[in-house]
Amino acid sequence: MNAFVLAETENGARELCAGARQIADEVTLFTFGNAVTGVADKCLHLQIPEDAIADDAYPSVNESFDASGAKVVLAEPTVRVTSLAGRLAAHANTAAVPGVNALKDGVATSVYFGGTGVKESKPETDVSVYLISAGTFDGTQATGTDTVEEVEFKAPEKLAVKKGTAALPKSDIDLASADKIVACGRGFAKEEDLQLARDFASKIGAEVACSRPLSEGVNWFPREAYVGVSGAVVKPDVYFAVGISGQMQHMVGCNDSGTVIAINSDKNAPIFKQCDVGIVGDLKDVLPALTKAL
Amino acid sequence: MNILVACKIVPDDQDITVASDGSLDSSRAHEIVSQYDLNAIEAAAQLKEANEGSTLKAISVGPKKADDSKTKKDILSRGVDELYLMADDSLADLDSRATATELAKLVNKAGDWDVIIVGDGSADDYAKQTGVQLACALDVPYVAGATNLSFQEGNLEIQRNLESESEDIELAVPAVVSVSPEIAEPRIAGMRDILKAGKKPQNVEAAEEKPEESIETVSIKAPKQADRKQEVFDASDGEGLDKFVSAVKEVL
Amino acid sequence: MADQEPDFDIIVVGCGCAGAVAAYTAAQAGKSVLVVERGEYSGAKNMTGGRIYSHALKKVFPDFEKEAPVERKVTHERIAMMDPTANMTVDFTSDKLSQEGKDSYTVLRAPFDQWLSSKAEDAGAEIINGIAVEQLIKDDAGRVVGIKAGEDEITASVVIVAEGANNLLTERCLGAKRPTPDEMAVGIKEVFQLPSDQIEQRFLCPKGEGAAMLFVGDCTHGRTGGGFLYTNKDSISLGLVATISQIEKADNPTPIYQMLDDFKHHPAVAPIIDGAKLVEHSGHLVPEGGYNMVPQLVYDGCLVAGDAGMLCMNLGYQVRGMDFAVESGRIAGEVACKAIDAKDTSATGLASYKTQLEQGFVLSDLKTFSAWPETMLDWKRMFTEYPKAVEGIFNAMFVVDGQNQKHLKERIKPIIKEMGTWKTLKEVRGALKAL
Ligand SMILES: Cc1cc2nc3c(=O)[nH]c(=O)nc-3n(C[C@H](O)[C@H](O)[C@H](O)COP(=O)(O)OP(=O)(O)OC[C@H]3O[C@@H](n4cnc5c(N)ncnc54)[C@H](O)[C@@H]3O)c2cc1C
Ligand SMILES: Cc1cc2nc3c(=O)[nH]c(=O)nc-3n(C[C@H](O)[C@H](O)[C@H](O)COP(=O)(O)OP(=O)(O)OC[C@H]3O[C@@H](n4cnc5c(N)ncnc54)[C@H](O)[C@@H]3O)c2cc1C
Ligand SMILES: Nc1ncnc2c1ncn2[C@@H]1O[C@H](COP(=O)(O)O)[C@@H](O)[C@H]1O
Repeated sequence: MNAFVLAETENGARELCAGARQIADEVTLFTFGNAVTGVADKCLHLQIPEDAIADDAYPSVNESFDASGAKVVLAEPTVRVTSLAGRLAAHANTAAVPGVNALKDGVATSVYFGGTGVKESKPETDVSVYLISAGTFDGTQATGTDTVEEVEFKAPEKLAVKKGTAALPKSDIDLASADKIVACGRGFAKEEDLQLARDFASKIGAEVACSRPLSEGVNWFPREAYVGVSGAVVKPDVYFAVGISGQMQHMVGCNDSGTVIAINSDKNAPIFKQCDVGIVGDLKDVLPALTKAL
Repeated sequence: MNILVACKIVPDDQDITVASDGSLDSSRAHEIVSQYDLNAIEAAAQLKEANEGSTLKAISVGPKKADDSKTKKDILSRGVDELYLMADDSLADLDSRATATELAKLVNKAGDWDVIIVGDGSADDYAKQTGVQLACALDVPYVAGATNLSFQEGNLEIQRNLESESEDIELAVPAVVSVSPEIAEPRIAGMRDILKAGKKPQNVEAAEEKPEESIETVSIKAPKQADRKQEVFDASDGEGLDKFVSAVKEVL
Repeated sequence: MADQEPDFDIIVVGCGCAGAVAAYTAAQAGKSVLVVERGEYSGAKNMTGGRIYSHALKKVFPDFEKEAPVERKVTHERIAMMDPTANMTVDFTSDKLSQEGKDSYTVLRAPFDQWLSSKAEDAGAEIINGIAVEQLIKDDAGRVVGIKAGEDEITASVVIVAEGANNLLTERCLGAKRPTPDEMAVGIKEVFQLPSDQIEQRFLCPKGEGAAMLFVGDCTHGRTGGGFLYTNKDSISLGLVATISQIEKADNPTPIYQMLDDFKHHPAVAPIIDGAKLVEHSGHLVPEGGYNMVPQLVYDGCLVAGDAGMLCMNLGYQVRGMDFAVESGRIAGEVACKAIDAKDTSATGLASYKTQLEQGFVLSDLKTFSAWPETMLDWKRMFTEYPKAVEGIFNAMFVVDGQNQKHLKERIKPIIKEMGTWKTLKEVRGALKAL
């Protein structure tokens, strides 16, 4: 059987090709990022024209897929690949299985309701398309002797025009290797109040992270800083959740922490059922007290 | 311009409980608009308000209980003029392709349209697939993840953030656009908005036939929960804060 | 504003028992009704111990027990007097308890209030959820003409305020005096999930029937208050009510949640909830000052119903608020409709609300027991020494240790003596008079 890997980053390409190797005899990689060699049997590379968006590469992708004869598609869940995977799924008369974090005998395991549940599902169609979360095939090595083949960009009939692009500011947040994290939530009413968390974090040598609304709602933090099902998954020794209610979507990002410590003014906040140590109190009182005492 | 917004009605995950066999029980949950679809509705309403003479209709597909008077009013109190809802138990938990097929039927009933706005992803599956599937079903362009959206000289101007860069895009209508939650904070409807919502047209219909699905759900179960000590102090109780500080010291 | 047609005939603030019934009654009578409820859905944050007497509800919904989401019919009444290490429980059952109109049912407010609210909505009332009314608007003459929330003002011929015990609007906009800490209690409650057959086994009840249980004595660590327990279909409601002045006192060493924790671990309670999963925690105010704290209920263009009017009664062996809320809501709805038809919605036009409450059980019962709240507050020993004495007496009866026994009278005498015979008799007489 053939597998078709759709990826845009190098890490993504490597991991998905390694995974594809476990389930298929032949692996075709399709990428519009940098071409990667040594991971698949064939690497198809497409250069997106300056004024086009990668999402509009779908005619080329679908054609290459048809030519590959693959029955399984593993796709990297970036914004653009997610959109291409959808086009490809529709082309192959199926739906993509989203958020896959384990794949066995065609049955995919995905997060359901932000972590409230775990869903197992299986495509019943001729072709299966899976969007695979990072880390699913951790630890397997990709192999291949591929050469790179350039693919032509075939514009769809109606397409978008890219007028400009800019690099997003790089953040120096490193949650992955932090052993202590202080995460801030909507309990912080004002941006100035974040200083309380920063002071405390610098006192104990912790990274500062946040819940999604503080990053994508009010933009007080870069996107790398939010923890949760759609953000970073972290495993520090100690995780402080400050002014975070404890919604599943957030907690699945920190459930593997050694100790979870909660500060919240509402004693019915769900976080208190998921913490080791907690205090019902105003973060404006509790954080300074902690900073002072430690 | 004529705008459509797709929003999913889902059980409130706060009310979902775990049954003794480990399955999820949402029978007592209230129906709500999927969290990030509220941002999509708001973005659509703002687009409508910025372009005089525009209309905004909402489309939704779901099980019978999605036909809930409070939820429908909620949608219509947020700047939406009219609702097209297909509610039928054969439409529960559809995959993205089947959902898009049904939504496309509603799109065809809703009259002329220029743009369909969808949310970042639905609260249950968070597939980010329905929008693109709908674009395929309607054979129109699709752009995902807009953080800014406006209509200028007959074209949509879109800004979006990718993983490490941002893009400015121009797109001719008709098109489907998915919006990132940060595009707009959902409004809080006032009493008058809610009263008016009750009088707006609601077109509710059953499914024509059970749609064909591509993905079979094998199981849905609650995840294993980490056992936490749950030692909770109260700052309003004299020594609570001190005890908490000591407990934290112990951990660090 | 006065010349303009109001937006609605009647606006009801709050969709608890009182508000929903008022709205239903008025909508059923053909009036245009708007209900504004703060909760995301009716009953979202509402709380009660757990039992509603059916009589008042039957006047509005004659067959309610067949369609309303009631939990269990109460056929067992239990009263427990507890001491830190002992407990005496009386378990009473009688066929009178289950006769139609005399019966009572345990309820959980979330489903129950939603049912009431859907009744009002089906009858034609418009319901707005998720918005708190911030103000009652008045015309120049001081007459209530509508409500305000955010930017929006909505007017009506009559506004029925049914906002519950935390009656901020009644206080802020109608000038009702703030209840004293002696007149208010705080109730906290937890709900524990338990399979229905286990509930029936633990309470020795037939299928679908259940028990109501009230506790005095140690559950509030000697403070004025008591504990309650109600059996639901597949859960148990358990909680405490304690007078605010008592638990706020500087010398009170135990915060109320600690009391609840201790209560749950008391040997008389722990086995009942053993193995049950805690699923809900809530707290709420309970008016318990009785008749003497009832504020003005009738204003120009406005009526106050339910807990907002402090129509609630806690006798220790009987807690009633929901039936008062239902009855006052129904009467308020009816009176408002009549006043609108008669084109006089001034306080005079609405005055029959008060007279009907006085003639009926609501104000009449509150009046009958008007001395009780004070008697209870003064009767500190009820919560400390009486349970001790009861323990002594029953120990004297039941403990056999092989020592030579004395006559029961000899054994009990010292206990009574320590209590002070006359003092006790006087107290009990006083209490019986108030009850
Ligand atoms: C598809 C989808 C994906 C999502 N992915 C993510 C994700 O990856 N990560 C994520 O975080 N969220 C995610 N969310 C959002 C998530 O559902 C919640 O909305 C979010 O986590 C809530 O953030 P919060 O806890 O900061 O805010 P809230 O839920 O508003 O909680 C704020 C808390 O602060 C407390 N508080 C208020 N004032 C104080 C004070 N003075 N002192 C102390 N405490 C105080 C309050 O009691 C409250 O509990 C997702 C949602 C969806 C639908
Ligand atoms: C612990 C405890 C145990 C009890 N046990 C019993 C019992 O066993 N039996 C019994 O009969 N009674 C009992 N009671 C009393 C009973 O619960 C109340 O008397 C009854 O709920 C009163 O009903 P209500 O409709 O007046 O008020 P509520 O039920 O409190 O309803 C008021 C409604 O108004 C809404 N509201 C408030 N302010 C606003 C605003 N500004 N704008 C919009 N909406 C607003 C609230 O959200 C609420 O829905 C108990 C009470 C407590 C606290
Ligand atoms: N059943 C539905 N009814 C209406 N819109 C939907 C439905 N399902 C998904 N959508 C829309 O498609 C977006 C993406 O959904 P999903 O692909 O499920 O993550 C959502 O944010 C909605 O805007």
